Amino acid sequence: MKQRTKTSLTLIALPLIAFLLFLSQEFLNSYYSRIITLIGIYGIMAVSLTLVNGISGVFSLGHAGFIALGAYTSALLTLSPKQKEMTFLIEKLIWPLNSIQIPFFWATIIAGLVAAIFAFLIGWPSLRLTGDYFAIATLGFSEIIRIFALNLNSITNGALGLKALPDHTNVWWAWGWLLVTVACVMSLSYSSFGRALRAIREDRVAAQAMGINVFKHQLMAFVVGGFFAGISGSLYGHWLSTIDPRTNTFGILLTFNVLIMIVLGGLGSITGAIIGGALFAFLSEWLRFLEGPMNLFGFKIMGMSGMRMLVFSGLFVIIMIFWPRGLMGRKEFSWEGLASLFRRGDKR
Amino acid sequence: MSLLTLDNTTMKFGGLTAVEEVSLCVEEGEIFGLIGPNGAGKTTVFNMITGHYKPTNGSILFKENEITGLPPDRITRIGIARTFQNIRLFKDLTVLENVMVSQHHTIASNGKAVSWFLGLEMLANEKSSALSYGSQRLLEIARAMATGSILLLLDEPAAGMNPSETASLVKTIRRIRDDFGLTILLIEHDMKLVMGLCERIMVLDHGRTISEGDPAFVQKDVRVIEAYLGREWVTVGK
Repeated sequence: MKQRTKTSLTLIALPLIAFLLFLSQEFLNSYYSRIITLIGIYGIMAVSLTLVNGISGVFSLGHAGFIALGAYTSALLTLSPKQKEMTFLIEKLIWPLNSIQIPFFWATIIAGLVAAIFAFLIGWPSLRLTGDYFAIATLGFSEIIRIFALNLNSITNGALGLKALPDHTNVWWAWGWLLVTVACVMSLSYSSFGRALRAIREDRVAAQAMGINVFKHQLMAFVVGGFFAGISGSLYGHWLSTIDPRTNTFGILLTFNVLIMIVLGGLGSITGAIIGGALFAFLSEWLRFLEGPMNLFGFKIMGMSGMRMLVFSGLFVIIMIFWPRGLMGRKEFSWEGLASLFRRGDKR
Repeated sequence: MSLLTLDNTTMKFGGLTAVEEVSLCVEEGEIFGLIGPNGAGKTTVFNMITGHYKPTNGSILFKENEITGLPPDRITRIGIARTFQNIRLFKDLTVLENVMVSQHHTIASNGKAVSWFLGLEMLANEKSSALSYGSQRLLEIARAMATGSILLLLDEPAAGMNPSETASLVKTIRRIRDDFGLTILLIEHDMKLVMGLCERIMVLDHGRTISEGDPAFVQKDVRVIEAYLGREWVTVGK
């Protein structure tokens, strides 16, 4: 397939997706359109973690920390001064945060930047570690963020959390940022920088011997991953409209959820990350019916909360048995791949 | 002026001395062989030169600049590239990508030209793990050459090759020196290859230099025969 054909196909596909999203907004009820928005948000989380864990091969377990940082940052910037005064009951919010309110877009950008700065500060010392040690260090970091959020009353409102966030996040914001994230991570991954990252993942020692500064490359990937995690945090916060540090919404569980998405989709594949994110959002909502009371072969079963996670884990185990490298492996979506899929179908 | 100088380098791992006071001079444009029985410390010498180990003592000079203790990636960018004894290709990357990784910092050298030169251009888009063993060894050399280095360190390039592959490898290494003007320092156990290819040879045993000179000299050296075949062989030979 020629490059021009592929480019034009992509240019046709993007408005088509936008049109479908538009239709979904018009004709589906708000419950479904919220799930579609969530797919976009999960997509950003998964793609940003795939850059770190899948493409660079650094095993980070601190993603939720960056997401939480992004959520808090943007929430503090979009809430109106009056709302903040009402919310901060334990201690007053420090100046200048208590008197500013900026548009959602800029708040999201700043959320990304703050997360990126923290990624740099965390990555600088801890990327000298490798493998499991790095995973533990980042896991610790995300816990530290949560503990700080619980106790830093004058900034995060402590255990009371932030409430009544304006529900800015709609399909367009979520999918628009997803497009930006995918475009950035894709172009990074296909540049010589991305090639170097994959070389490091394959063999760290050999990559060094080829003149690649392993530390610098991994730090860069970690910071970019952190940036988009911050963006997704901002969107997620304004989607939930509450940030509660006592629950595990922004805790370690979130890291593992994102990890499930990218492993499900195929570790190292951007396409896989989006598929994984979509599946996760879809299944975790759709399986909710399992938690209600139901009639099974004449037996009445009472609703059990947590039942869907049980089934979800079961599904996850099955997928890992039959597709040990995830649904996509390390492959990416390509127009050729799609075309050959149809051609194979014709032959049958 | 010698290209690479090792001055009394010693490498200790805790109580074990892997390399003891080894000095070595590689002149520009020569093919230098480093041989010795297993565990003599040859690869340790390579690891010291390329910065994977920091020598306990002594210094390493490249083009008369001190490079002791620099990180491996800096040393590669300065102009020393290596291959590995146990092949360390980027398995999930294609042949061309493997060569292009090295070009990351040196746009000057041409990866395609190198792979063409080594006869790998037909395989450019194959995953490197799909190559035959001999081709994988060649690809490692191509990858090292593509860094644009002027000194090539080859760690057992003929290991696992059959005689005809080895014969063509000898030709290839000579051409790398003649056509690309690279200096080559190699470790090898295949004595036929070493004696036929290298202009000078250094023999290590238990981390010490036991002999140095041209192939004819080294082959006759009593200490070398003793190291490889034992003391009895020396007396039988007499």
